[in-house]
Amino acid sequence: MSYNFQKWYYFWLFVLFLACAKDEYTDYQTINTTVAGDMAIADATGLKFEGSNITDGSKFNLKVLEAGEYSIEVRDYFKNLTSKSIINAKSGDNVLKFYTRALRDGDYTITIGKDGTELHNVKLVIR
Amino acid sequence: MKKILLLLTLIPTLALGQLSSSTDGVDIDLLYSGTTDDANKLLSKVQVNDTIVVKLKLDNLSSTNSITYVHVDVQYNVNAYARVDYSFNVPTGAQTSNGNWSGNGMKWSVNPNYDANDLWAQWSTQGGSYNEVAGWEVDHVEAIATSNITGNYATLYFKVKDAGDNHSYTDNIALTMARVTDNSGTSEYVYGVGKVRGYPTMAITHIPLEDLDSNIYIQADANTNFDVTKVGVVVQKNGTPISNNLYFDSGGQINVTEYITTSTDNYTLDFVTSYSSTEWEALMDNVITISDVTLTLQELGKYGHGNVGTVFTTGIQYSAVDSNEDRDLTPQDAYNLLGHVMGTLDVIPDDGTGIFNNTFKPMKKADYNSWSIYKFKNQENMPNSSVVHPITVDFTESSYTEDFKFGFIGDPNGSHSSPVDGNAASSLTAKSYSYGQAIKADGFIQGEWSTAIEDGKVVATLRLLSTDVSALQLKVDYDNTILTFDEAVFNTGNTVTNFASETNGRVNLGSIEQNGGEIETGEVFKVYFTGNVTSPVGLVSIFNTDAANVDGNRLILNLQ
Repeated sequence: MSYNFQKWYYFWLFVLFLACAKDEYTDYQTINTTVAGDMAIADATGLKFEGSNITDGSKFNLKVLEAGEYSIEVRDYFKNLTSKSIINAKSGDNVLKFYTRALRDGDYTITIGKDGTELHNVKLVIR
Repeated sequence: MKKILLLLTLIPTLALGQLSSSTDGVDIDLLYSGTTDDANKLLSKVQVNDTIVVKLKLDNLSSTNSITYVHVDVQYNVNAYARVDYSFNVPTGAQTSNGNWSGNGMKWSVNPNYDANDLWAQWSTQGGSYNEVAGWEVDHVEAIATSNITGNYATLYFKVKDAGDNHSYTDNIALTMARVTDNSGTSEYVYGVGKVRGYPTMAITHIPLEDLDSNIYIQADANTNFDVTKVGVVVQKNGTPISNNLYFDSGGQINVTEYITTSTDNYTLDFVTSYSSTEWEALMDNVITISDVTLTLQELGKYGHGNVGTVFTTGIQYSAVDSNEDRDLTPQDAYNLLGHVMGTLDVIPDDGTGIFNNTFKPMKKADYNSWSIYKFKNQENMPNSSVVHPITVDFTESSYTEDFKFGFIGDPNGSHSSPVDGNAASSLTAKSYSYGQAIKADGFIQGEWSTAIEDGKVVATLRLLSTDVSALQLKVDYDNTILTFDEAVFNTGNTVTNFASETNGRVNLGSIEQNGGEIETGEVFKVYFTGNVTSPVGLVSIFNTDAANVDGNRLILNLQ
């Protein structure tokens, strides 16, 4: 092969490699139609975490019918409020990142609420 | 001195005098096996009047011969030991005897041409002999059986005696000679020279400890807000550590019996913690808070809410905030404490030994309970509150407990310090103080906390819902790998002093009203961060909160 041919051959090979690489999403993906893979929730509403433990940057999916402000409370073993976040959720799946570096490792209760009404309540280990 | 001489004696023994096994004959082990009261007691812990258990253990290494006859001589010093009993463990029908024909005392002189542990050579080859020496006796421990004698065939019991300071305890129990044969065949087989060895142990050397049977405990009476299992002691003997870190159990107790073994040495307890310096600093962030400041300001008349000088009731409180240790509590001490809480001043001294040593104030319970304001003000010597405490045990008691209480620098409201019991701290005061330290909160107040994304920024908001609050403090942790702290915005009232500072991913913010008013309700704190995120979940968390009412007393902020 000539040098010129090799140059273009490797260029297009590299372009092809990049094209096939997985796209990087931001930490917040709103997918109104369907969420593929493990984060999908079959029911109309629900809450699903990426794993059995919450690690820094791991994802969770909050699927709601009604768009609006939802609260995510994190309470420690003694039920003390450790963290509380307000998110603007859209109708359908809301896949978000859960950050943990500002939290101490331990058992926590995660509560999702809207307008003072508790929608979900799960106990998980945060690492 | 005696121990040094013993050590010098042992060094060449250890280096050059390692015993050798018979390899294919019989090894006889003089096996120390605890005491009659404690089978697991280490020899090094044996005291005068203990009865030690010594086993004669046979290890037949011969592949062709068994043992049907064994006779071992065990020599012991009668000033150090009284052989009080013996027993045999031999096949059924075996004949046993334990004779003693020492007369006025006898001691074996080793045949130098053979190893001292070559027990049959010492018996059979002449050259060595028993000589009349007062103070030594010899047991002849003999068993004859028609079947194989194995393992621990005899046990001797020696009561330990105090032989005096000048006595040499070296090899005070020792094997001297032995004869082992096999009569199971048509003719007697005698295990020969080199085939009967004292191995791996043929002598016992031990200087007994004093007969001190007291159980010795360290007991801590700690505040329930403080995890007592995170602190402990190292026992020092004459200034040298003799224990590892011994941590309090959940009941606040440490058993130090095995370390305090003489009545003549000096013992101290060196308090330690299993927390790292960073973890202890975090603890101190919880100890010294805004309600400590308000209480101190109230005591010193700088809180603007009346009732001056009536809120401190014990000397522990005064000492906790006397940051310059001049025994004169002034408003400056309160302002120093306020500066510490605001993050502009550090009241924790630094003598180079670390934050634990400079903030933790262990004190013997009686001293703690009786350290009064009167004593503080009248320059009486303050009881030892350092992390090193001498301990003097009363050995006449079967059980001795040294009780401690724990104070912390900068903790006048006693949120983490031990409570003061009784009225000793107040009865000696010049004024008629009520006794008991104000460690409990006056009540609860309500607030709302949330983190959200507003106009591209992460904003944490505290909404105060309760009235009658005159001081408020909040420490929040945030992920400083993602966020950058921008500012804290206050809406607490025109006469309120606000403060905010940031260190290593933690924002410390608060407000104090010193003019007789209250902090306004509503969105009192807003903390702004920047960062390229669209999810705020978990980015900001609450490290701790504190609040005080107009009386300077602590309030618990209940966040929703």
